[in-house]
Order: sequence, then structure tokens, then C-alpha cells
Amino acid sequence: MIGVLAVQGGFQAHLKTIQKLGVAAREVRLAEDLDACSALILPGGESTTMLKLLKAFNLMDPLRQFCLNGDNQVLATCAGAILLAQKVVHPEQESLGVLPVTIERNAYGCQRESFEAPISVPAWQLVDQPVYFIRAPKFLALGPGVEVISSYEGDITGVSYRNLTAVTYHPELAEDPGFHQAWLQHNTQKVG
Amino acid sequence: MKEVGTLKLKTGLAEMLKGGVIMDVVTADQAKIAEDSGAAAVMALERVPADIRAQGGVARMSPPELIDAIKAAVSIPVMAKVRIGHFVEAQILESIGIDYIDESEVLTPADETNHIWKMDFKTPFVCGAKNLGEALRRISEGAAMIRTKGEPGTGNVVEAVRHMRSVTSEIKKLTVMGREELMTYSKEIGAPFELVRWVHENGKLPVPNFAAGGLATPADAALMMQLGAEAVFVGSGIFKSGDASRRAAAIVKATTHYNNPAILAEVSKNLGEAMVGINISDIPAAQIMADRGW
Repeated sequence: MIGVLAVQGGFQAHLKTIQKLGVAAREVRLAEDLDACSALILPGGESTTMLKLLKAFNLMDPLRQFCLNGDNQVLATCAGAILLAQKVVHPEQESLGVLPVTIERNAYGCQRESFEAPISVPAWQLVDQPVYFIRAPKFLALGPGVEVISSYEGDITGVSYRNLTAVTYHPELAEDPGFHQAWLQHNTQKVG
Repeated sequence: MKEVGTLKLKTGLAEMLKGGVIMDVVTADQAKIAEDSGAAAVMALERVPADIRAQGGVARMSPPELIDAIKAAVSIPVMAKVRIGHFVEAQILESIGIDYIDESEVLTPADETNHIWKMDFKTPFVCGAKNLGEALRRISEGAAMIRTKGEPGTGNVVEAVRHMRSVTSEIKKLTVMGREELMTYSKEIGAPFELVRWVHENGKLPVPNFAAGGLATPADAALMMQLGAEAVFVGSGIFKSGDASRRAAAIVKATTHYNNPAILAEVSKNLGEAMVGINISDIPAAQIMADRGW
């Protein structure tokens, strides 16, 4: 079962994409919702809003534990990547701190600067997948053990570290579920 | 190929606001309070609807320096309102980098026949709608998000409920119609045929559908979410109440946990005074904001 964090943000688009692939998925709003899950998607949205809700409903520690368990696969997109990062800037804020990277919020500017572009993930044999950068963040620095899985115009846009995959863009807004399919194939043999 | 300003990017930002609360603010301080309470975005205004209603006069776009101050104070998206049909106010907001433009009936209309041709802009627009026909007319002009109009500044949710129910029941009706009925239906509701056909086939609006207008309590927010709203706007309801930051945080929690009555009960406790509401029947016809829009 794949959980999709549903406290705020683009969780519906992820759920729809996963359902297109015929894999079971559920919304995660409270800690007990994680019990049935062996994989988790942290969607885009507003990271400040999500943090307030994660703290108010005691989800910070359960999510951290879930991410630290190497058997659980985690995919984080946009604000989700901000939640995972060890260090967040512009402005500085709290996070789950499980992914050793520095990430800058709203690094491209306001909505006017949002853009769509094709990206490739060579490690997954994924070529020219349409994705969407919406008020997107940027990875500024990567810690030891963090691998780059995608980049665009010189910026690192996707990383993987142990059981965690984090990207600054939105693959879930594309009609084609190819990105999620590739993530599942390459990371989640145990997910059913 | 890198592309900007596409419909997918415009509706994409609305997707990211889902399950969130967009709060009306008139100062940078209020914007900070809204962000600290968990707002997913703020709407920068010169006056909240309750004050526009009380003070009268022509209500216009906020001055750019106020919007700049609000943008500088927060990291979440900042929206602002323009008068219906006032495309130059929209050009100004786009040039100062506003994240979403609300072509809003809360302000005094600048054009009593036409809305803005929103396709000309890279910045996404949200528009109010009372029914399906109005929603589809706005979408065909380029709106990337629809919200109920409700009756702003009243603290009375009844009109938002009416508008959400009429949009959803018209969508349901449309999905069970025969294809031969669609042309006449599109003529009846004054909506473009292609969009009517799209809704007939898909059973939903082609853009996200939010609630606005008269929401004042966590229960109001949860009501609109249970009726099918994907996020909520709260205007005067927060900063016209006794304890703005407490109420704001409670409405944020209620919007996430809209289907969980135990949590709704808990967050509804000890919020202080709600804004004093107005009964719709006490408002003179000329001051009904929901009737603005064509």
C-alpha cells in the first residue's frame, strides 16, 4: 500500500496517478494511517502549511521514523522535498531532516516564472518526461551518499539517497504516469 | 522545450493549494499572522469585504506598494483582486509578480458587459461563479480556478452553499444527459458547447473548484469541503473575529480534517467571538455582490 500525505497540497494528482497504475493507495492525514503503508509520497503544496499541520497532529516523528526505515520507499515532490531536506533556506525553516541536502524554497521566483520542461532520469531509462516546475525549489548542496537522478539547465532537479527519492518538479501533473511507474519499478519491489 | 504560462501550470498552482486556506489580509502584519497560522496563500486587499460593505464607495485593486510589502513579508503565494473587466489592473498585478489574480465581484465592476480575456496573461486567474454556466464562461475566458461567490463580508455561508450545490447538481444532471441534449443545454446555461461536452464526459469542472464568500468558522470550512470544495477562501471571517490567529489556525486544521467530526469539535473550542453575521435578506439588492458578473 502506498500512502500519500494528504494534509495539504497536490495529493489528489498523486493518488490518481498511482491508481492509473493499478496500485493500491491511500490518503495519510494522521499517524495511524501510516501503519498499512510500505511506501509514501510527500506531495507538493505549501511546506509551511504542511509543517503546521504535521506538528499539530503529531506526525513529525512518525514520518521521520517511516523515512529512516530503509524498507520503506519514499517519493517527495517539490514541497515534499523541502520537508525531507536537512537544511532549508529562503527562508530557513524546520523539516524532517532525513535527506542530507540543502534546498532553497521558491528558487525560480513567483508563479510567472513557473515552467514546464521535459526531463530525463537516465538511471530509470526515462527519457523526456513532461514535468512541471511550479514556484519550484532548488537543491543547493548535496551531502555524502546523495546521487543526482535528474538535472535541468545545470540545476540538480532530482536526487536519491538510500530509500528516499526527491525531485523539485511535479511529475504527477502529467497525463502519462511514466515517472511514477519508473519509480515503482526501480525502488519498490516490496510494495503491493 | 521550456514553456511558461500554460494552462497546466496555472491549474497546477491551484492543485498545490488544494486542502488549504487562502486568507484575506490588508497589511503585511496580517499576512505574517496568516502564514504563521498555516494559510496556503494570502489575498492582498485594501479593505476586507465587510469593510467595503460598511464603508461603501468604489472598491479597487490594492495599491502596488501594499502588495509589495505583503509579498516581502511571506513565503507563501500572494494573490490579489482586480475589478471585473479591468484588464489594466491585471496587467499591473502581473508586472509586479502576483501569483494568482482574482477577478472579483467584491470590488466595484469596471465593465458591466465583459470580463477580462484571461488567456492573454501568464499569471493564472480565479473567478467566482454562482452556477455551471457562469463557471464555464469564466473558464472559456481563461480562468484556471473557479470559486463560489457566496456573499462576501457577511459571515453568512448560505450563499456559498447555494452556489456550490448548484454547480455540483448541474454537473450531475449534465453527466446523465444524452449527447443530443447537450447543444440545447449549452444554449440554456450560456456556456460554450465544447466545455459542456467536456463536463458531460468527465463529470467535473476542468479546473479546480474552491469555496469562498461568507465562511466564518471551522465548521463552515468543513461544510464547504464536504460539499465538494477542494480548498477554501476566508475573507473577513478571520481578521474581523475576536482572536484572528487562533481562528485562522483552527480553520486550517478543519479544512484538512473536514471529514473528522472529533477533530472538528476539538478545533472549534475556545475561538473567541466569530464575526457578527449579516442576514442576506437584510442587504439591499444593489449591494448584493454575487450578482456582479455576466
